Amino acid sequence: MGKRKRAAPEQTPQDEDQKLLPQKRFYRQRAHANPFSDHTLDYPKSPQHIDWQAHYPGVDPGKKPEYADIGCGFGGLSIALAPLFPDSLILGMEIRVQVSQYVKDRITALRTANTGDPKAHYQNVSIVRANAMKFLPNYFEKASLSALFFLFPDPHFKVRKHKARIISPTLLAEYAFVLRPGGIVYTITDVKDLHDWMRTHLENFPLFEPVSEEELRVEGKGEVVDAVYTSTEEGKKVERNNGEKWLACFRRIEVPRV
Amino acid sequence: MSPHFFPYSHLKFRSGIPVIAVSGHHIQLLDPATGTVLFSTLNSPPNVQESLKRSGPIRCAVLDNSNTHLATLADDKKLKVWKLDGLELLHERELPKRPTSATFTADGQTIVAADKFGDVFSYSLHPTPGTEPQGSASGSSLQNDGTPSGEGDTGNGATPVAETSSKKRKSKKPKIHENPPAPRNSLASHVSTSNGTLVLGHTSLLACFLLTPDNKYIITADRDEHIRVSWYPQGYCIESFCLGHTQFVSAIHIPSDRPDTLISGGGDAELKVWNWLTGKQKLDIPILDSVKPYILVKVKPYKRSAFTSASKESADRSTEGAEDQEFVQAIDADESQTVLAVQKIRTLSNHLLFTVTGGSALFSVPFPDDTTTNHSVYPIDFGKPVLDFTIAPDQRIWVTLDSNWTEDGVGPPEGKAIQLVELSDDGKLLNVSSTSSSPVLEALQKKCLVEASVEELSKLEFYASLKSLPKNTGEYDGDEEDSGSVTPRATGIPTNIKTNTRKHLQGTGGGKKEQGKLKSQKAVAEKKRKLGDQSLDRDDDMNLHSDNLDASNAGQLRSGDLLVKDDVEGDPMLS
Repeated sequence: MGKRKRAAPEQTPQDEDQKLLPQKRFYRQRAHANPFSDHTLDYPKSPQHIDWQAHYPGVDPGKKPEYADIGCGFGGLSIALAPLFPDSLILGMEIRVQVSQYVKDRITALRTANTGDPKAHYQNVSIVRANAMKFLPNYFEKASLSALFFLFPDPHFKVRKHKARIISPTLLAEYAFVLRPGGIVYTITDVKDLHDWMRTHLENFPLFEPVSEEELRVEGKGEVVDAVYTSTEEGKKVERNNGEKWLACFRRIEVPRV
Repeated sequence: MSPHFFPYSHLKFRSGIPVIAVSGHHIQLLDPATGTVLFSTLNSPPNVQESLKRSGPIRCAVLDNSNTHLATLADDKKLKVWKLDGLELLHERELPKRPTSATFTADGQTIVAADKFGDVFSYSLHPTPGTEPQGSASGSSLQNDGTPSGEGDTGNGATPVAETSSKKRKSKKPKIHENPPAPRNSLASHVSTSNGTLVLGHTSLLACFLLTPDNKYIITADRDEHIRVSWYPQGYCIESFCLGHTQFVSAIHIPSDRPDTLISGGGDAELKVWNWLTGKQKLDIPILDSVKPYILVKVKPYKRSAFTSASKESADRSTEGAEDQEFVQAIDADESQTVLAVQKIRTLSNHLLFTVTGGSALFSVPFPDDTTTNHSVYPIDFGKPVLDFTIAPDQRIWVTLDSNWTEDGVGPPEGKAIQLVELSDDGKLLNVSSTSSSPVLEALQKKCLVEASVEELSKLEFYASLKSLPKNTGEYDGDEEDSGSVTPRATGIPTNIKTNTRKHLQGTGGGKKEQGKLKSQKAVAEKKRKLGDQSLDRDDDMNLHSDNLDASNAGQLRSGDLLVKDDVEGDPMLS
């Protein structure tokens, strides 16, 4: 029942807008979803079949998402990025029904509470319930994304379950497809094994090259890196437990035909 | 009791070489002029026969461009390579997962194979002995795959030796639980047991693939509606996706005279024509209405308990949350249904020819170009499900039938296993089986038939794909085609109504959650009203929002009497 206690301070009545925000405890769901099974998902036939206006009503028509938060969970990163890039679109993807609905309600509440704010208007962030391992190309056109985020993904500890990991040699091809050359893949985890796995596979993949945290900061992506470290629920939990976080970032490069 | 015979699953005709006929687990080579059997696996050495029998029905047989080598796949993980001349089994090796289809590269030196798990590997024509741990593919893989010993597997020995077919069934089962072949190397992924090179992979069942004629691209199609165009051999570079199917894609074809065009078909009501390099769809050829009357084989949808060796994901599925449970049960009650699954597409003199799995006809349709609007599909019915068709160098079409098939299962053999068809100038298909004198046809109809036991016939399972390809979440809706394709089919916004229903059926626990959600949602609505800003009116159109409110309202009606109680008990701080 620790969850319940933790939830209580969230509702300090001083801030009227706090009431608008959904509470996680009403949206809890088991942490795992099987990416291989046929969930009753709705997904677009192709990126041309998505009405992004419905997702980002307060934004110029014709704009398409530039940042994708894969397995966004409770949406911490997506929502943290929104005010950082008020003119870019951010899309969270989450396979769990309840959790994705939480993010949706949270975004709706934030949009309402921050109406008119020039930066933190949250009109540029949205969420889909989706299985990114299967349907990423249904959402994003070739080379349309500037960054992909994999924050604290399901570690799938058992060897038998490794194939369900979000980073794999075969899936990396699809991530490379939706990223524009120069685009960045951010990964972070508190599980050293998983970090080694992700780092190794990304390093071995011909279309990605490692990029250090310092480089990213020099390039002005420091705020993004900070958000990657601290904005998610998982990231905060690791901090509370004084756990270690392992960051690994990669840049999309191009290769010639052999 | 009259004997049963294996139907022919594949025929191959090429100029200058024998006719290749595959039936059950056997291969026969016939002289194209006389119909004489030149070579047959029925005359192979006992160890080869035993290996063939253990592998089960041959599912895929491909020939290289120089007609030197034949590669075959069956129901196990073995890739067998034959020297065509003399029909000599050169070697067999075990692949990491059960392969579903294979092809030779243009130079004949590489075999590209796709497996049930969605991965594509390439293998050198001949296994490289130096890197093969025991110099034998089967020996090494048995060691690697971690199947428990003592199950009857021959743990060593280069050529597979005597094992009964029933034992083979048994030994198949543990493979479901098989780990990736990398016992403790925690970083290994997609390691092949037979020195294969990973080309690409889908998170889905790969239904079919092809190499483009210039071998520069590989096109793969899966159960989740995707057609992917990747470079070859650099499969990690994706050139494009051909997206637009709403059902599995089970057949793709590039016409030899239109190398930039791809035709695809599957569970959708139409064939689709693409420019595959750009991923742009050119047009649709509607086929469902013409084809449906000829689909003889009906299937019952998968039951949850029916997941056995057919699905590698069975273990995963059983751990899937209860979310989809009620839906699956609802489907169980359903009767047999008709599933459309395009089986094969080919082109012949400006016409597309195609068949559907479990369908009794071969269909032709004029090849569509930008000017034609004539998509009339012309069928020729054979009364028995078509297993395969192939176009011989003389342009005649050889159609093989499942002559054992009856509506109640396997019946007495009746009718001919092979039909010969010609395409007339006006696109009609004519059955010329009885009028043409072909020694090969005669031989295939009679002396080449291979006797089969009822058990062997039951393993043929020609129609398994009708069950495994459609999604397990809903019923097949091939009839209903959303023509207004500009409107989004869905934006992926969670609607969540099903979950609500279940929660409410279960009792008040879920209701509390729903009320909790509703509370903040109402607060948002309230605030919006207060703001009364016109700019916000747009928000009400956004389905991100309206959807959700619909779902919540439905929940509210159903548990209306809980509303007050929940508010008080649920969280006093809020009230």
